[in-house]
Amino acid sequence: MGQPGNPETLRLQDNGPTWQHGDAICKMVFRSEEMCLAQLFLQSGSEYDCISELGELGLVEFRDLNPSVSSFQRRFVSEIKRCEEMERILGYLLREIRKANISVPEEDESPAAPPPKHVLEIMEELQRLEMELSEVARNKEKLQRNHLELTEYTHMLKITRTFVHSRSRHEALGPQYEEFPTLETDSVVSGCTGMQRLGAKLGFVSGLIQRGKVEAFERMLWRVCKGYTILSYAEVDESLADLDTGEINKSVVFLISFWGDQIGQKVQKICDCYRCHLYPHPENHEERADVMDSLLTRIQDLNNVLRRTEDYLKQVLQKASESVFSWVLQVKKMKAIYHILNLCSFDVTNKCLIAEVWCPVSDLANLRGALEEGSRKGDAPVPSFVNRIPSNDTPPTVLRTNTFTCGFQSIVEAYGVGDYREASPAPYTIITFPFLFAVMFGDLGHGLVMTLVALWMVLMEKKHKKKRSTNEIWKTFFAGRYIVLLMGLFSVYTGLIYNDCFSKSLNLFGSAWSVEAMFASHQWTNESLQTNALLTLDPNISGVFTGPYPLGIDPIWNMAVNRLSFLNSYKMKMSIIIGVMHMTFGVVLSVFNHLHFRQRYNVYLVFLPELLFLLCLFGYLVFMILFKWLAFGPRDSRQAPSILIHFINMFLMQDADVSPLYPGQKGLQMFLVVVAALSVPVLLLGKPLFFYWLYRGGKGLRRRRGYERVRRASEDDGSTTPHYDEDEEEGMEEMTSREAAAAAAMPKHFDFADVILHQSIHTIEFCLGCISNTASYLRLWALSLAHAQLSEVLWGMVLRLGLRFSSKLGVIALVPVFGLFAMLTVSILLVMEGLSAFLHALRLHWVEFQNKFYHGTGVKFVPFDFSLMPSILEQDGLL
Amino acid sequence: MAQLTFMISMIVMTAFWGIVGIVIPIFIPKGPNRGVIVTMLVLTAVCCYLFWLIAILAQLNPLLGPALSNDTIWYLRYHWD
Repeated sequence: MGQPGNPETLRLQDNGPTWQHGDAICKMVFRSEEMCLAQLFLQSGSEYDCISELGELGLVEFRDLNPSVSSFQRRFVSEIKRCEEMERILGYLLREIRKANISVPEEDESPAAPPPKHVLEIMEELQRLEMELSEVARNKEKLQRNHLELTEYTHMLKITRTFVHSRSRHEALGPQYEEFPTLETDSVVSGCTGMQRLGAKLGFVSGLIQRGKVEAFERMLWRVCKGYTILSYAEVDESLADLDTGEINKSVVFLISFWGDQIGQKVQKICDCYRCHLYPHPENHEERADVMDSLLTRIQDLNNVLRRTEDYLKQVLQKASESVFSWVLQVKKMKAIYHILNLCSFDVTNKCLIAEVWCPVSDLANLRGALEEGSRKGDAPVPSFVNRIPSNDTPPTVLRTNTFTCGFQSIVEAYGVGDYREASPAPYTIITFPFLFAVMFGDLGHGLVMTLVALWMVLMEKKHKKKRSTNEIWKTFFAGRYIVLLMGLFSVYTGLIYNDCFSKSLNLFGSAWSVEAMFASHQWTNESLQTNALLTLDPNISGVFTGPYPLGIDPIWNMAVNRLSFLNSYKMKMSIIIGVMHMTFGVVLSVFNHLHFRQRYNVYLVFLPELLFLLCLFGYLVFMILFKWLAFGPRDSRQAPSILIHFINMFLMQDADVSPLYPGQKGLQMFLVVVAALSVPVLLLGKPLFFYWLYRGGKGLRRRRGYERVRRASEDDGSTTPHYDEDEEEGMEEMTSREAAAAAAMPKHFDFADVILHQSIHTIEFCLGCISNTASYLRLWALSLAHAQLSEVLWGMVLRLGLRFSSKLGVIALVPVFGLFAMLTVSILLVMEGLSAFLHALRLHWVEFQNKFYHGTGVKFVPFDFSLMPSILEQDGLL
Repeated sequence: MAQLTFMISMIVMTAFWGIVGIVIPIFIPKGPNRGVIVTMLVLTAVCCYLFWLIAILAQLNPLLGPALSNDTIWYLRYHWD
């Protein structure tokens, strides 16, 4: 158990634990693993460390032992709240670090969850950092506000100076009087003198207002003060930031001259209303100059302080960024551990926590090792241990995968997770799925491009795994890189056989059709060439056809006008043959399920009728196709029968006017139809009647089942004994729900109607499905035809036009034409057709293949594994 | 002659996919991936051989010949022989 030199070694990969062991483990990929329910007794004091060890290894799935307790009443709620508080502070930290454009260095290994005694230290550190940061941020804001005020004041002073610039010419008026701006006439001057005589005092209000509000401000002033005020304003060159809203907009400096106190108050109120920033207006030049100087120095000082503050902030954030990554991971792990601890139940008598887990039987030794390690780390006096308990619940399904097989496993699971210990179609899908894709995609050139792209993704996988991309489409393609690689490789092969490379054929071995022979036998002459636009080669004439092309379709068909009539017939028949074989394979796989679940009766009552029905009808169709290919040649091309007519006549049991394909055909066909027709009632009624017979009588079987039950009960005592090796385990395996259902289909409550209904649905589905599924495989023909036609169109309408230029300019013109050809090839033929063929191949697998043997109604095993859990901060995109 | 080419291609392909599907799986070393690799090899051999076989059987006894345009016939007459 975890000692050095032990042949059992555990290695963690990114797709779950894998084993290096013997043959028995190889079977794990064909069928989901055997699981057991185990109880963990965690001594208080070391439970945190034990769970931490289990989380690092990702071995087991925990069950909730307190389902009725709400999440606020669980034991470790306060610890979780603490973790969330820490996460909040970390989020704030990360946002600040982001704002300051500091990068967070990521480490390769993730740190382990901190033991409870270190948690307080981390918490304190985080809180201290938070306080410091918020204080610095507050100070910075105050300084910035101050700075803004001073800047505005400076601008105001500068601009209002221009308003009263001309005052210098009229110094005699004295300090109280300010001149009005440029448009002065003598009358106004005299008006001033008049006012001077009246003893009225002029007042000034100056400040800044936003550009957009100036007109409204002016109008309001005019309406309220009825002309007793004069407003002059000018725009500030520099755009200033408004600290409240963060916008940068233009401001306007204004100067209001008024006389009278009441007007002054009204002006003041209006200025408040329009949220102007008011500053005191200096009385004379000297004062103005003094104020400006002091302002300038103050602004300089402020700039210094602001810069220092920002430097300090950056320093603090830099220091924090070094450890923030490990803090985030530590907090995430801690929170996960406390969530798991909440699922356990507390045993007061033994002072320990009890957890119930689903564990693969092969991992029990590792589980014990992990608990020992955790107990050692937690310095517990008594070690924690594992106890295996029997259960009637259906365990979750787990299938071991590596980086290569996990893509295929995921496309199978997208349809449905397999039942517990059901045969998995994934290992066969690794080859049949790319193959069916390639049958629909078959093009040498396109396949080559696809292979190269996939090869690039595979070779770059280490680099890309580190870089966490947020692009969903890229992530999808990258996850399926091995699928795309196999699809490309098979497409190269089928492209070779279809003899289609960017819609052109390769002539590797010399065509089998000889044109010269037609001339040699005087069928064609030079005149017949000139008069007829189209001539057909006749295979009956010797020398014209010299045997089939050794690898695939003859290249001459690429140039023939009646190409499609040959290819369609070939591809349709090929689709039927492939389809029937695929479906037969699916039916045969169901035998493995029947045998594994000890339902032998299913082999005779379900599998055999299904197989007979399928083979007698559609297997015979395949036979007829092959027979026609082999038996009928060019000599009998006139009497070559239509297979479809024969097939239909077979069902109708007529022989009409068509001559038989071979002697004895009628008898054989009738025999096959009768066998197929008989297998339907066997499929429909066999199983229900068998169950009925078991229910009524069948004493012999019942006794045997009872013996099995007694045997099982005797091994219920604990599992401190080491785990058994494989063959023994086969015999003493706990009854799965399927076997229990089989055993329970007896005495208690036997619902005959239910079984009949279930079986009749299955029969109808299978029999009608046979016909529709066989026809469904014709999509292999349809899509390959579409692909070939699209390819031909692109060649004929795009690239050929570029190649036809006869002048030297054609070389230059070919560049954009080729660019267009390449772009359309990639987007239409590779991406669109590729996705389409992918989808159809997937459908063929999910429906036509898998409904012959796969149920897919299981629950997936989700182990408690730290690497599978994203942190909230990662999800927010902060990390 | 025609028969000879046919027999040769038949033997070569059957032998090749036979080796891939039957002989090579014997030599795959025991390990956790043996099952998957053997399944993959056998299925590849079966699928590819079947696909090639269908292609060659479909052309063994052609019921109709290709219809070519006269330009094509003229070109083929002088360039393919």
